[in-house]
Amino acid sequence: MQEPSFLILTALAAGPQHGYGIMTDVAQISDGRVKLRAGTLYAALDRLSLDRLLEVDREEIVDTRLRRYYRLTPAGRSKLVAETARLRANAAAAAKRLGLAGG
Amino acid sequence: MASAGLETRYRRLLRWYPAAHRSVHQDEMLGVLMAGAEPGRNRPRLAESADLLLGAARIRLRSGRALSDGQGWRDALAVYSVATPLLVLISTLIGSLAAELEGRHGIGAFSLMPPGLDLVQQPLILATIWLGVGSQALVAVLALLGLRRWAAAAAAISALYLGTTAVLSLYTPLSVGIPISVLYIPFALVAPISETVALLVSPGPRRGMQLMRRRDWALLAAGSVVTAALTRSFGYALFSLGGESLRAIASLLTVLVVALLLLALWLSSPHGKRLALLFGVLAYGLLLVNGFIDGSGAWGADTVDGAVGQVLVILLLAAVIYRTWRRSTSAAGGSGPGLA
Repeated sequence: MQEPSFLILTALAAGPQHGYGIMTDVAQISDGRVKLRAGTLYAALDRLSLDRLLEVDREEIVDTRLRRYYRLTPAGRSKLVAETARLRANAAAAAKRLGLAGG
Repeated sequence: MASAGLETRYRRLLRWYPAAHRSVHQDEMLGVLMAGAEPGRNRPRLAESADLLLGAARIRLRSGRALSDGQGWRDALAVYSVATPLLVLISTLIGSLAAELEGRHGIGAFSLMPPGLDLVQQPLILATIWLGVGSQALVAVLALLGLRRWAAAAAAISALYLGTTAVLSLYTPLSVGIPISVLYIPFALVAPISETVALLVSPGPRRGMQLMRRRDWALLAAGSVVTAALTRSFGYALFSLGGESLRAIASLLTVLVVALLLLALWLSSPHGKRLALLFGVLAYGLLLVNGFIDGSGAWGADTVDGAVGQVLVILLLAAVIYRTWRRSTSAAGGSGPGLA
């Protein structure tokens, strides 16, 4: 799974969010290292939706602007759990070989 | 606060997205873009513009892939894999029968039999031609039995045989007096090659027969007659009796019948429009042979009739391709994160 997709799913893990919320949350989760732009975000949302990993939760109109909220599907949650386990195992293996504490 | 000019420029950039995607996400994306813009900015940043254009390209590419990977295409090819061998076989037999009734030797789509051959040449050429028909009959029988791989092997052998004989006929004594154009070779092979591909990449003729309803079988029978009418021998047998003008009118009517047939197929089932496109390519190949090769081996009345027919078929195919593409991209875009 590509990093933007992983971060988007992570941003939605705590609850539904709208597009701009996902962008700011992804920046926060990654300590400002990953800054999603609108084109990348919506291409990723389109792909994740086609893969049935997320779906539309609800829509709101705020200051005449449409806000669409997205949420994880059960398949999306499972995928995120599996990906987290995979990354954790990789990180643990790397830490062990590097002799880092906790590895 | 971001300016109205900025919104106009964002809207302009969003026009690069597929219409279906835009109809669902444009307002939402504008909201996100405007929320992220610094106060006072009236032009998108270069990196932002590039990101939007790249995002549009990704989504368009995905829509295109959805079009080519779709179950609809596999189903259409499954129907094509069983319908085409039958269509070619039946139309060839009808063409042959019509030619025999008229007192000429010839066998429809594969007819290259000119008048005035001697007693040695005639049986040799007839045997060569009937072997070609036999190979198509074998493909049709194997397809009807649902034996996909055997049918594909037979279709490949049929393509090889027809290709070899067409090339050899240019250089052997058998070619004496035979009006053949190099244009004939690729188009004589359209049917067996496309059958091979359809049999190999589709779920197979068994699935095709499951999908075909009574109306599809009736259309297949009608299509066989029309295809026979498109071929040279049957055309001569049927149309030359009434003179050139009647033949020209008959050719145009034939093309119109093909158009109606394609339209009916297109509307009759979910995979119909794709199937119409596949049959359109096949019909176009046969029409091209009919248009460029006439009985004397020179450009003649058939060429003119054929040219008119070709323009009509090209227009029809363009319309089908346009509608297929638009509906498929719309369906692919509509299945995105939106509610559409």
